[in-house]
Amino acid sequence: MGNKVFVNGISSISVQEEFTWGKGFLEVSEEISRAHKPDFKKYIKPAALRRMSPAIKMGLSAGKMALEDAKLEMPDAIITGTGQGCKRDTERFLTEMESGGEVLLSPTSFIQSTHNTLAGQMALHIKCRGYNITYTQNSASLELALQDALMQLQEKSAKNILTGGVEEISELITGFMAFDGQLKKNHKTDLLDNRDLNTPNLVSNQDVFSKNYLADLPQGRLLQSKTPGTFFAEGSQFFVLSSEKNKNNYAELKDLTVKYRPENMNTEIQTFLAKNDLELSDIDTLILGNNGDFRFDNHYHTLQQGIFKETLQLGFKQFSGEYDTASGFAVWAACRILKSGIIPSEMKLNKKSVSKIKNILIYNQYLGKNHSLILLSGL
Amino acid sequence: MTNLHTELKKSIIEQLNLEDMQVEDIASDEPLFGDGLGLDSIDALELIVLLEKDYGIKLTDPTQGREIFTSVNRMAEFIEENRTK
Amino acid sequence: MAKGVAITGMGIISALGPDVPTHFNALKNARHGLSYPEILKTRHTNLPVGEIKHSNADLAEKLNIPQELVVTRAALLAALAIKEALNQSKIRANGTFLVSGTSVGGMDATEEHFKNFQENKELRKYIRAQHPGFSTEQLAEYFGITGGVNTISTACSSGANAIMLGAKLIKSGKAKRVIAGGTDCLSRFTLNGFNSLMILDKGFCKPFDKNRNGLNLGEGAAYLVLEAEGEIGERLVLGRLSGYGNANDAFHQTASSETGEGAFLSMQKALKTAEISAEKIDYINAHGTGTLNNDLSESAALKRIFKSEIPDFSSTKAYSGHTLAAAGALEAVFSLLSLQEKCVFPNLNFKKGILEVGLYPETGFKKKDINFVMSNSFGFGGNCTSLIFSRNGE
Repeated sequence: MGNKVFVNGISSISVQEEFTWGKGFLEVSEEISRAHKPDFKKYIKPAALRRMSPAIKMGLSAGKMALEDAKLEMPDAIITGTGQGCKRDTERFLTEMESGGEVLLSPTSFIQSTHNTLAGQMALHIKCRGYNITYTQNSASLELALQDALMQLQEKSAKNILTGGVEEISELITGFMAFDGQLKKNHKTDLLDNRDLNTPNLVSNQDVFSKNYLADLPQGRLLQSKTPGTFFAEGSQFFVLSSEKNKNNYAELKDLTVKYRPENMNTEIQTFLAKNDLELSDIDTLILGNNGDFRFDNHYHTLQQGIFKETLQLGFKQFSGEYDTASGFAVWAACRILKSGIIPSEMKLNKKSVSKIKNILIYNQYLGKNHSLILLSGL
Repeated sequence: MTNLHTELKKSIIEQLNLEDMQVEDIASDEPLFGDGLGLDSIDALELIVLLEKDYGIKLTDPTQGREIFTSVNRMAEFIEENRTK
Repeated sequence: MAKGVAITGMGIISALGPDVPTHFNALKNARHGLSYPEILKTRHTNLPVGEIKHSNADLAEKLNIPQELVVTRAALLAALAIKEALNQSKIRANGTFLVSGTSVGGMDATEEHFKNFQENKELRKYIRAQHPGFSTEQLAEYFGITGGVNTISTACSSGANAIMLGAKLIKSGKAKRVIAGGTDCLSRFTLNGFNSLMILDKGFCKPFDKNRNGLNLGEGAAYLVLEAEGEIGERLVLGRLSGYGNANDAFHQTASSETGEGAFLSMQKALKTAEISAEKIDYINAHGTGTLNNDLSESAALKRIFKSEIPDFSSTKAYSGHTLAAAGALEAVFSLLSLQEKCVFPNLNFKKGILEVGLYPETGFKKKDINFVMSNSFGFGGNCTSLIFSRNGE
């Protein structure tokens, strides 16, 4: 284990408005939710903005917000994560290609369809010629970006790294997830028990975007759902990780691990904590990625009723919605909690309380494939 | 300004996503690239697509664009000489 | 001089052939693998490509993968390459990491099926296959990999970055064994994409030639097995990855800067991690795509690093086509072959040098002592990666 690594700057663009911290999160209420977007013109010149898809706008803005927060002009490296990349441009090119019979295609959407578009644009915008890489391991993409940054900072091959993730929603590709059980279907009937509300099957996103099914439901219903699929959203969270802490510093990023289909998560957690000289009881707050998909939330339930039964448990996907880099929302929330000492009560999944928050463990998985653990500590 | 000039400005705004611009904002003799409208090499490729789609003019060498896309005036002139539709 | 991370296995598949020996023979005999699309169903049958003339069903059969399993072409190609690498290194998959670079992912399946997802339930299994991580997960499951699964997507430098990360994981002690490389298949999406950028040569590409006129796309996969010192025992070390550098050109979304700043920085960093001076490099496997822009920019960068003493260099893109995310991995195998066989591979289709740079690639198969090989891979988004391979014991 080398150098300590600190989170010196953070940012979040999500379904939630940034200023609502501590004032209450609103639960996501639609199958697909768009992010609450800041004024992009504050971060990106209009001439550049005109070509950009939401993923690039959100990512670039979030990246610049994190740099601003850390009062850092030039990082040594830019490391991004995105599971599904630039879906809007991808599907634009794809549909143009199909409908136009492979002729007269506009190159812009092709250029911007690559997964590293954001990292490249970020480098271009701040003229950062350092290390630049993009991880695309589905729901572990952000974690692998953080892991690379952690490794470089621990080895002292960099001092400040800008790292973060982005996912956007798009009409077609996000919409496809309604067909393979990733997106909740007809959840109005699913969640409202026996009331027959006669909702049609989702056939296009026009329907998805125009309906606000859950607006009048009480909080906490998504995570209690007994149906397959979840609610999707978009967002971007960025972090400035540094080997030296600044005045603005939020937390120490202690360690992180990603496992593909681990046999036993209890063992993985204990090994991970032991490596960091911690015991289960040292974890005072656990942030979990429950997303209301009854097929896979048992991964969390096992821990909630098992080894972490006595630990304060928080949920975040009922506020962020699901997306491949949604764990960024959890890291962002953990940083806010560690710095402010305030835990938004609506995040709580059990009734435990903590007197002094010291160690936060984030556990996330999606469809039971990539499982990640992120450990952050207060200072 | 001829109809072709206006039509061209409209399609440039549309093809290049120049959201905040109106036809009146583009002067016919204004340079499209560099200091004028500030277009770049990706826009040049988009304009090549525009020439073929709207006027049936096929450029095979992207460098040809450099001379044609100097201004709306020059583009209109080139289109008049070479259009097939 | 840095000792470098040991490489104990390599595997490759491309239009040149299904394994390492066929690739060596093709390179040695200046025999390219370019043809016209037959497996890929596209209207652009006039564009040369480096296509592997086997259907997905053929490839799946070679791997004993049942038809009903959803396996992308990228994963099928990768599985064949990884199999060869594992046969050579004889490591166990359990506890091994897999780092794979891909840019196309399962786009070939998406473009084929997306219009029918709604009507045809059978096809919905391809929905998740589009995303790059999916193919890597399929590979992990096929080979029983449990250490770690990681996908990198940095366009045409993905494979090189995957190999670099593999070395970093070993050096940091996070992994003992890593399978690292890249895979990409041909798709209509990429063929039309590069076509819309007007950088595809309608003839065979001519890297570093004055009259070069674009690139040819290809498909393929290549993987290396990287291992920590304590793991090797008596097994053969094919060569070592002793240097790597990653930098960004920060100039343009797709084009490289005239001065080749990003390429210059990545080569400089690679020399620094290898702890050697530029004169030590005996052969450079250049990125050399054959586009006007890349070859000019790369030449400028080469001159800045190597001054007047440019080592023997060549681009092998005219053999395999540009295999995008796999390119850096394919060329890592070529670099190791250069070290093993003590040779420089000929640059095909070169007639006249680029006047303003005055650089001339090696055009014949040349035997000579080789201790250090540099391999360059650059991609969209300004991504530049350089790797340095060295002889074991050097």
